[in-house]
Amino acid sequence: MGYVAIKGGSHAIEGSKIAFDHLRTKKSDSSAPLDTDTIEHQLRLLHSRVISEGGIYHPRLASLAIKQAQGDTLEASFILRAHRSTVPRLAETDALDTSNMRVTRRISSAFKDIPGGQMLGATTDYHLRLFRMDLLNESPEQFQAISKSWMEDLNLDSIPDTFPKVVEALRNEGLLAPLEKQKNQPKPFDITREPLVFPLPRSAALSTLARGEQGGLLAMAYTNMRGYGDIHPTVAELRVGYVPVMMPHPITGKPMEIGEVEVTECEVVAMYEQQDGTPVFTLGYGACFGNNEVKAISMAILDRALQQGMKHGPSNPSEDPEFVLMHVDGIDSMGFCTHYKMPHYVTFQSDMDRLRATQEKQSMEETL
Amino acid sequence: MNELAREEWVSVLNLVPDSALHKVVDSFPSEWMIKPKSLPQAGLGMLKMRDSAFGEPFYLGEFPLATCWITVTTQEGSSAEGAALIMDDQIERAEQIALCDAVLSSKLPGWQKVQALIDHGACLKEKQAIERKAMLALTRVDFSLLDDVGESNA
Amino acid sequence: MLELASIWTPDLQQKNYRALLEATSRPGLIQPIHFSQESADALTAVLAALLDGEVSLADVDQQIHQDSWPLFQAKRADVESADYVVCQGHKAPMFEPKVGTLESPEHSATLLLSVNSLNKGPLTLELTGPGIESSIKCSISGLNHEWLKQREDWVGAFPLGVDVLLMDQTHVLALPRTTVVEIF
Repeated sequence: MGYVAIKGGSHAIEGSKIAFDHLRTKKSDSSAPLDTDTIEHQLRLLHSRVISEGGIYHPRLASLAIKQAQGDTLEASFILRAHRSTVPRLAETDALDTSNMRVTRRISSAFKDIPGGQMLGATTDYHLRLFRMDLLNESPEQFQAISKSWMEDLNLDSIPDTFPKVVEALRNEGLLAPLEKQKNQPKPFDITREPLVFPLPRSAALSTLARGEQGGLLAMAYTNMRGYGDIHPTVAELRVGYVPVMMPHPITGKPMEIGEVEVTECEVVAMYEQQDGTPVFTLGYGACFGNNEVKAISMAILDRALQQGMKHGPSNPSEDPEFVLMHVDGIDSMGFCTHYKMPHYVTFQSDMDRLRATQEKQSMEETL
Repeated sequence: MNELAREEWVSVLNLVPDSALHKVVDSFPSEWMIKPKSLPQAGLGMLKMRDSAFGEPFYLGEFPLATCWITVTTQEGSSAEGAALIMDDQIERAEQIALCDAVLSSKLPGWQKVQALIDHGACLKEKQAIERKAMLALTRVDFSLLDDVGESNA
Repeated sequence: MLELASIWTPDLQQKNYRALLEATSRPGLIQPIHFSQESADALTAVLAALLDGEVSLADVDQQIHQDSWPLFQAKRADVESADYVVCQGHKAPMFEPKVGTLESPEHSATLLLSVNSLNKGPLTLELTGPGIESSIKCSISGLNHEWLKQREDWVGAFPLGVDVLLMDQTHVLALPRTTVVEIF
């Protein structure tokens, strides 16, 4: 009895796949299929989001996921995540140092003069939120002209190759606690291999947040920002750029750059906390694949909140590791939500039976 | 062209289009015996990062990784070892780059073509660096102009 | 472009993995191993199917060629902690392999023992247990009796134990920890 519904549905399921692809392609006389380059460049920030939530830095496949899922970011991230679960783990890098980042954007809201300077890079921060109607009828010629000449007459000589971290300067001035000399650093928690069992080490929290769903992370961080928490953060540094991925050359053993990953990294400075009697600032840290600033800032705020929660016990939901970390993963949350659409006929039938039995019993008791 | 160290070859060859790499590899004699020293594989690498707040390591996420380590023996009997690790899932590309690594490091016949490919890649990499620096130069904030006007809402 | 012996290709590795699965599901039935004579042997073919970079291997009697190690990708380990242990079956065992823990019985060793023959020999074993209808007999040549005695100790506290693969030049016979082995 329970399986009839599924057998009857296989025809409909095949049909739904066809219907889905029909909607994607029905305007075929007036538009061309999307190509992965177009998605990667013209939908750059959407693409970044999917790479980050998928948890694997694969630009080509992230574009394909977006195309295949018709723009549904949760589905696209799911496709990427599913893919990586079928591929063997070959190696692990040594800890990468983002001071080697090939920066494309670097700002600080806490400090005006930072070593190397502030460079806004490509950002919408200063855009007026008014429509650019000219983009409605953008011609190929107009499109191609934009990137052609803006680079002329720029003095590049004063731009260094890398920029020191602002937090390093703060440490040197004694405003931040110095980094502990960690001799035997524990192996970081690998969330792709071990289930989350609380209490968790901070490395597990950072990994979970790094591939967390942007909206979920933002909402949680917002509860903290709006006053459920006592963090008054200021961005010490936000940087976006390309970090070289180093692995040893198999033959020579020397470090070799095998590629680069785009990373957004943010440190927020929070209210000072007594440490050995000396007042210092404390930090929250956020980092993720791609250009995702809202995510990196949210993550940094949550990192600080969770540190607070793990030390003193949570005083609000954003400080509770279980509340935050169990609910920020997009695949987990959308998966559970989506499963509600699957047949629950037998379950529900038994609920209805129980309800009817209770009602009958009640009406019998009333007549007595 | 600057002499790039062996460990820099992969980073510049990454930018070279597939067709150019293919062309050079296809030009090597088919009589060459290419044997794997360890299995060429495509899989994932895990990126470990150090957080700049507390210097603690954590895993940021994964990336595609293809590896290849080979020995090449020419018809004349000279042999060389080459290896490549690339951030991609195309094993074939890793094989091709490993072959280039062998040819150029041991200067096997045809090595000049690999050198030319590397020079081309280095050029592309330089262009990429210039584009990024240009974005920084274009958007650098000059706070001194603010100070000239006077501290209003600075 | 690369000349790769067939035992390193997914096709043959899947066939050999299937053979091992069959052997383990029906202990006592010997299964043929797939490999081409010029480039490999049965032991290397089985190890190629089983090993990867995540597991460790101990080569007690130096049966493994130096060049094979990077192809197996397995880490070298000492015999008490290795996931896979390769030995000559005619020599008595001189070590205690890992038998797992109650929480993780799978953290135990698989022993690969090389013997002369799996279908004729002076030692006759009668096997009973899961996967065997009633009982099955096999005649082995080149297996030291001590292995069976030690095995009884190692598998005595189920689910702890070790799993054994007996191999001759061409075939494999599995003795999972649940199989009861009596010398006939």
